Amino acid sequence: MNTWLSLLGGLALWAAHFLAAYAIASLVDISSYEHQAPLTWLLAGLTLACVLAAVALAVRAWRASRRPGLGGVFVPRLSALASTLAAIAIVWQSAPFLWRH
Amino acid sequence: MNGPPTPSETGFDTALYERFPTKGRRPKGELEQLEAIWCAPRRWEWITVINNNYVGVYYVGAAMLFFVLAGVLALLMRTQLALPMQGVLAQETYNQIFTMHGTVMMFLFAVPAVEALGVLLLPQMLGARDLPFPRLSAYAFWAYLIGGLAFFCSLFFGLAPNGGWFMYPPLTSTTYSPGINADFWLLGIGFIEISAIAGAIEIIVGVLKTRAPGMTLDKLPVFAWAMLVFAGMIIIAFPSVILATTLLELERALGWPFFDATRGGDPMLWQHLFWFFGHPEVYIIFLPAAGAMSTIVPAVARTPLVGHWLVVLAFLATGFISFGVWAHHMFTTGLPGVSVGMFSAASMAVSLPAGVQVFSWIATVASGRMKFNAPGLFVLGSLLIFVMGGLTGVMAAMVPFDWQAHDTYFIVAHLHYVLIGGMVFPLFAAIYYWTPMVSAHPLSERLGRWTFGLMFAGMHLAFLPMHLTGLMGMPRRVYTYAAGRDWEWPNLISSIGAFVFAAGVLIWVIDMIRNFRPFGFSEAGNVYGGGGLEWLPAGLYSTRSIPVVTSLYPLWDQKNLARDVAAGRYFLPGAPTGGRETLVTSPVNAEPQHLLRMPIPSGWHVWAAVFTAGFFLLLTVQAYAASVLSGVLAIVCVLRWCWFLDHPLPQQTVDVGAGIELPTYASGSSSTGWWAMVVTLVVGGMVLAMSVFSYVFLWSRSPDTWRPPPDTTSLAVATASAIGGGALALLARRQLGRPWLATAMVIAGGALLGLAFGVDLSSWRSIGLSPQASAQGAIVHAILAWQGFFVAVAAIMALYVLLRRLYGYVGPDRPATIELVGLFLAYTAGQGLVGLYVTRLFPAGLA
Ligand code: HEM
Ligand SMILES: [Cu+2]
Repeated sequence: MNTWLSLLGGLALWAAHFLAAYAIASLVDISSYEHQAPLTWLLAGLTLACVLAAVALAVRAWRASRRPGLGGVFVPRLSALASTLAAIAIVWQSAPFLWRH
Repeated sequence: MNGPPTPSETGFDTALYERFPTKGRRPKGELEQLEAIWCAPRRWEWITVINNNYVGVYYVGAAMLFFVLAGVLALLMRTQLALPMQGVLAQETYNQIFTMHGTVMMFLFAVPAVEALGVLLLPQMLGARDLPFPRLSAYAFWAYLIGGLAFFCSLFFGLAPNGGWFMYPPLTSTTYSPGINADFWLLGIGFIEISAIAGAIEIIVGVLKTRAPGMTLDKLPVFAWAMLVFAGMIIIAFPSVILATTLLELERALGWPFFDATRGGDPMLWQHLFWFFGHPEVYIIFLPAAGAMSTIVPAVARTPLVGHWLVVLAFLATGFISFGVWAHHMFTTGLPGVSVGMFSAASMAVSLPAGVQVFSWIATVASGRMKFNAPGLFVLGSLLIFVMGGLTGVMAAMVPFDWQAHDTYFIVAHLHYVLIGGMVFPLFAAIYYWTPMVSAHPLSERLGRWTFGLMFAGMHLAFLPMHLTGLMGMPRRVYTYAAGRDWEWPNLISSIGAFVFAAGVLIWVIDMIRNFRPFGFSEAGNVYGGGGLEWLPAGLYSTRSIPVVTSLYPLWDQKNLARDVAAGRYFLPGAPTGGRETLVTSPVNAEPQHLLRMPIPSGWHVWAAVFTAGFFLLLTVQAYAASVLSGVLAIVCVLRWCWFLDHPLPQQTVDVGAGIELPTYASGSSSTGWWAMVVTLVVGGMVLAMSVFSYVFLWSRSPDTWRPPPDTTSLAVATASAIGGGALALLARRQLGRPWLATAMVIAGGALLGLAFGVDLSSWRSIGLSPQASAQGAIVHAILAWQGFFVAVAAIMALYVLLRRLYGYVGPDRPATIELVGLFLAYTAGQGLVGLYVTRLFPAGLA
């Protein structure tokens, strides 16, 4: 279980963040002006939380790669990189939205 | 390495691996017994065979048949378009033909072809005797073949769909598409998706649970990684298109207005649901092909894949990120501005993993000594074509450019570059590369070069000019064009190119007829020098014994492996239980867990496929009674097929080699059945999730027409009975010591689920919500219908358990059936609750 969590956790965070960002962006489009700022802050907060979580996963996996398991360093390294990638992707996809608002 | 000993995943002591290869000679008659158990089919048995060595070949063959058929349609179109104002095809026929060409290529060729490759290759690559559910893959194959052929034949009766391969309503609604042409598409494709999902379940469980011992994730072949991600993506993406086709069919057949704007529906819902599937579809097709490339490139370059783990990472990233881009097909539909920015960002990001793969292949080719044999040529050709397609794709991902190029021949050119480079050429590379594994002769090198040359040249001749015709403004999907706009030359060249391409395919067919000799007792063997287990000497039982794997390229790195495996010096050298069997191992470290007894051929899965196909086809021609009958027969066949599952063997444990004893029965998460059930439930959950999305989406289109939900009493009653039903069914497993009690609990659980469903349905009816009147009515009823379907299945399962109890098949020695039924019922309860609360609390609860 732990293996899959560290391998896919970061990317799953990315997916969750994507969905949330999509929902919030849609809400912003149909809501009145005074609701837009709080929604934007919500997304900003969410983005920060997801990025931090992904980075935490990456660090954890990187540490684990120093005590390799049966499958060697492969899985922990892969997990570390996957989570790092997810963190970058999360920033990347919320940038256009946060930039504009 | 220093430090504490590495923890085991299952408690299996991996030091036992040291016992292999065993010494000494194997007992007499062991190999003969294995051969007898896995014997070849005789006479009519070739229809009921389930061995993947056969089914895999059939499956690939059928996919290639559809490739040729859809190719013939392409030639017809190119003949029509070769010169301006031609009369080869009438407009309506042209519409049917381009729709069929696109649909058959995408749904009946591309996805099944790569899935077929998985069924054929995976057991050998993973060191299994067969995939865990051989009858399921056979069922998937027959359902696909019968359904696909019937679907294709609609063309001969002028009944073929004509709405384009993505079937946008309102064009495909009954107003603009009367007649049953569109229904053929909806039911036919919906049905074939079910077969694809069945295959995906098989692949996931196979890759996770039937690997050779020691094949930890770092030693999992790259092709298996690709197939794993591929199958996972099918599980996530296909439910969306199943839901979409069901909703549109409901609108057409019963008048439920999901997409009809006059009654609160919205055609954009179709586009969302379709492209949530449709874009990942491109990567779904591309991933296994990339997996094949990543296997073939090292073999022809004679060096390990450079950056193996980066390629795996790229697969994983593609698997996720490709879901974040569906709306880029809708840039021109006036989406809200901010979401366009997001989708555009994801669309650009998704080309990165593809880039990583391409660089890894190039680096591998550069670091090894490339041989320009037939697979090698196709590999190089694929790289070139795919990169060109990728470039035009990045262009189209930029929103302003897409506004210009949308719906012109530029897109047709782009899509064919990507698909042919990303999937067709790799597939041909795979066919040339792996033919010696299944056939007595390899394919001809000389003809292979011709095939490659003609296909490569034809491809560029046909599609390079289309970029130009597109930029000159020629729209796609037009059956002809007027002279005098400079479109003549590029169109003529395109048509010539199409025929050159076809000539290449023809030569390949000739080559196959001359050299392809499967199912024999001899195989050409490892002519290209690959490093994977699939090149071990093998018979119909796969390898004689199942090796302990210690390398990513076992045949390159493990000395004498082939010899020792063939001499039976590894796991499972014989058939300890006297039947077909394979080893089940753990998902991460591939530690042996138990022995899986496998079924032998029988006709039930074939009949099940026939009747399932019958159900959908008869539904299309509106023969409802016959259709229901066929559906019932299909269910009977499936139950009959499951009947002999879950029977403990007399030997509780057996020696699987070198004195290692493993159990012969398993339940819970170590068993393959549990994994299959969980994956199936994920499919159900995805359909539910997409329905909830549809619900919210439709509400956001006409919030003021949404009416308040029924009273809270019904809510309370339905909640209580759903929770009670699910809990009873789940707890039944603990009462197996008293079989009647356990059976009664399952039945009561099913009944309570039925009650919850009935209460919910009737409360909506009592406030007069009609499915035809409004989008709310339609979508609430759709969610209810999905739940009703699950409740019906749950009822059948409960009766099945009762029947098994009557035969004395329920008891503490066989928990698996009760456990899986319990899981299903508990899921049904949860699904019912989600539907219940979403439809009641949203949007009413917000106010
Ligand atoms: C050399 C072989 C092929 C030729 C000559 C060819 C030709 C064509 C032509 C002429 C069209 C119709 C353009 C229009 O009128 O808008 C088309 C559409 C299409 N083709 Fe192909 N094609 C080939 C191979 C493939 C393959 C291998 C695939 C997929 C794996 C594919 C998928 C499609 C799709 C999805 C469409 C769009 C259909 C639609 O507009 O609904 N084609 N092709
Ligand atoms: Cu796309």
